[in-house]
Amino acid sequence: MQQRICAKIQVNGEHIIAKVIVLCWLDLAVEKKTLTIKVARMLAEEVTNPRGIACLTYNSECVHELKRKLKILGVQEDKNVFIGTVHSFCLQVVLLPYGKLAGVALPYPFSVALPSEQIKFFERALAETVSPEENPSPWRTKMDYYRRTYLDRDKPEWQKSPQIAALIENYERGLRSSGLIDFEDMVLLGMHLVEKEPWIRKAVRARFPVLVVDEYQDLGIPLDRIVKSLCLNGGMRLFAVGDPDQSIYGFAGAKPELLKDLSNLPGIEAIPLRFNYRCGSDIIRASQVTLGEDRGYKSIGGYSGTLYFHECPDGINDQASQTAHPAASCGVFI
Amino acid sequence: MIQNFRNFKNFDIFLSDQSVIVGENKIGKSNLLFALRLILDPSLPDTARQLGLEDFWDGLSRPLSKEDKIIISIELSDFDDDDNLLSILADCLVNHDPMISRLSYVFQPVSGLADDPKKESDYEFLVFGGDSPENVISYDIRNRMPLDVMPALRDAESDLSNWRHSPLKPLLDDSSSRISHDLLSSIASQISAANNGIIEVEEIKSLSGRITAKLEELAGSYQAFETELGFTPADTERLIRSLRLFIDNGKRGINEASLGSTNLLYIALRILELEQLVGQNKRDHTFLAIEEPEAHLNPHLQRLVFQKLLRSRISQTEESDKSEHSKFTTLILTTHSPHIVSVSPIRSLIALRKTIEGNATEGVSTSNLDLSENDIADLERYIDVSRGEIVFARGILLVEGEAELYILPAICKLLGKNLDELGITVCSVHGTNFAPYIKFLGSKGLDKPFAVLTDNDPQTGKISLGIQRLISLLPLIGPNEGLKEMSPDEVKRLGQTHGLFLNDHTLEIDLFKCGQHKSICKTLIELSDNGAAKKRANVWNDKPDQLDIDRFLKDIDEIGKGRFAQRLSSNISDVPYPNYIMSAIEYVSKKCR
Repeated sequence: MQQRICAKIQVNGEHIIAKVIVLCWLDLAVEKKTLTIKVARMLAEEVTNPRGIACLTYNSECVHELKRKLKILGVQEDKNVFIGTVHSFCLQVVLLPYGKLAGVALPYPFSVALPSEQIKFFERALAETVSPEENPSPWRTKMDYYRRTYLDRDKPEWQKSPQIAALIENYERGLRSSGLIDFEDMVLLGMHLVEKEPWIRKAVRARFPVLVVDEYQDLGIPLDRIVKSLCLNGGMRLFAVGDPDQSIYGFAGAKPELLKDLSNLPGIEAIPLRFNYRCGSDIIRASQVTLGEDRGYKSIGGYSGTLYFHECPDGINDQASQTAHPAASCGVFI
Repeated sequence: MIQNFRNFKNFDIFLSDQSVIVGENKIGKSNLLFALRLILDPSLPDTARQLGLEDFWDGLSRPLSKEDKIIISIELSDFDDDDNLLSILADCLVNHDPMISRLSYVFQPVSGLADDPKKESDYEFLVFGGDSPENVISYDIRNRMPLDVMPALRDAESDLSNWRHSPLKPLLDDSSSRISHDLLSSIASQISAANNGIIEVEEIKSLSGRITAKLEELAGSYQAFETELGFTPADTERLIRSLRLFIDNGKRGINEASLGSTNLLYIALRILELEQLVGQNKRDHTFLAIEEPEAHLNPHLQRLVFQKLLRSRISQTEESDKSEHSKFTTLILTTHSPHIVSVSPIRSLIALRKTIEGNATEGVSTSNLDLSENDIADLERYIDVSRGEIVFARGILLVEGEAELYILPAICKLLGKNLDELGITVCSVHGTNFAPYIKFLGSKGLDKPFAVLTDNDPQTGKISLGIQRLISLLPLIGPNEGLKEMSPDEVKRLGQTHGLFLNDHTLEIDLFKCGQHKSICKTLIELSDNGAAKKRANVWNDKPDQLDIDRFLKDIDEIGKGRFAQRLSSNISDVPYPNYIMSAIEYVSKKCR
């Protein structure tokens, strides 16, 4: 089940092609292949030294995997090829080179807080702003979600929960006093810099005329805003891959609908991929029934596949335990 | 900016995209280039970047302390329209509006050294971008925007005849890469055939036989080697390498060319190479430094070649892209040649000289001069015609015209001052348009001692032209407030303290009135064809107080001011001279110390 959206964005009369490829969980291999081949081709044909390409993906495992696949095609991480997470992109490509010059209020030089340091400052902030008696764990989840959701502190939404807002501000002050930032800071500060400073967009675009984003559905609002700022506003070309049906990181701030929204933006022409190389036609049909909409996906293998039905009379818990059972085979759990 | 390096204690200079650096011997022109090489030259090995204790500025007290460092940094701007350059320099930004990137070299005691450094191994060097020493500048940055130095002692002839150093090599390599292998092989086989043809000639064959036999006799058959005569190796790769440049319709090799032609050829080939590298996207910018480009070139060639090279950018706006190299090149010349200076753009000049303390070198640059296009054209023409004299002079007397050009040196000589020895030049602005010269020589330009000698030109019932002139010139030198409210005398006195010297009337009248009337009348009598004028001169000679100023000036005009001054300069006698001349000479020669 695949969907590809090709998008063209008109910027200053110059044709810039942004490709957003949306694929499904049933055929990851094709998605990766398309992405890596595209990167290798652009480096060979379009993007020449000393300029390069920046590839962003979700986490360090994805980074590792992407590096491995690109290496097979002869693409090495280099001064002009960046392969990393959104966090490392924000830190290395935006915050470190330009943060001080742009006047970001940080202690220079700063370092990244270890998990133990984060816990220390979080617990201190919790005790000071809420109460020393609280259980830190649920508050930590709340704080992380809040920081990833309300990104603009000068807007009224930031005060939606004054208590959590105060907690976050206290926590961040603690980190700064020890010359630290955490992973969330990297992304937030990087995003604000990119949005606020045209010269930073210009400099990033000079280094990396092409931005490649893998696993778009998992990367959340800040990345979405960074991409829009750099590509729609800063003239970088975008090549993005993702599958809205596949996101499993909702708890971490992932918003699969962002991918669809991006592809629906004015000036963006979307071409979905329809061919699936891995599944039989029956499996594809059954999946579309499950999704509740006909996506028009087609199988390419020429076989129908077999559907096994497992009855789970005790509802969702039964479904879960049968699926997780080591002896469970593939099939539909109803 | 250079700190504590060789001649430089605290040196800061603005280089534009074309710089012509002048300065006396040993002032540090080569050291300035070497400082740039430490940052930008990819062919400089790191062993050379590890400086020594002797490279610290001599004025530092020894032993050196932990705080003493050599710091060299360059700031680059105007690169942000070029995506390639911006991509290289984006990480080195120190300012974003306008974008300025800094590259630095620091030679300092190794970090963590407890005591003061004692030996060279206590030191390390860093080359980094922006303001963070962790942001190391690597070979690839240097390689994309390298500094190429053609040294003063280049041996163009041996470089040209040695394949490895030849500037012809990269050009031939590139050209031959586009020749089909088949064509090359076919040519090679023809050469092979020609070789065989000559070898088979009995006389030749026997000669190489004799050579081989002698080798065997000398070294024994085991160590001797076969020799063979031929034109050139006949395999395809060596074929290209064995190509040589010839001159005079192929009759003579480069080694028979004059040194001048060889140097000219060398420079031409290097520039072709630069164009090729940019064309192949191997580099994005070149800093090309040529030391003493005048080497072995006759004056006319110097002017021709460097007029093209230095001014091509101006003409380029019309003939677009005609000289590709200049767009991607920062050109730096160090020279002693008045011929090269005379064709240099007015804003490209850099003068190196000793600081007032005399123990370090400082530099002045004309790159930021506030001059109109017309002023620039006028100055460039003047410098062209005068062969750059005021650029090399230590001090300058700016005068209105030809008359002063003759009279001033004569007076100086009688005063026992040799202007050449003092390094003072008399420069005529041919009129009263002193402003561009003042800007050029003033503190924002070459910053040289100068004095202006100008006529008061009184007007009846109005403030004199000379005073008005001072009021318009003084703000260029310093004071610009309340000038209009001052009395003429106050303006005149203020002018004197800033090097503007006004007489009472005009040169000839002031000379006459100060006591030179006898030599003036003598000159009039000698030169005039007009009997009435001679008669008048005789009267004025005996009764100077009867001078009729208008008549007097007309009589001189009849002879011609220049002709008159030329003769007067040999008739002038050893009696007092006009005050404004004495003061101006005193003012400049004192500052030339």
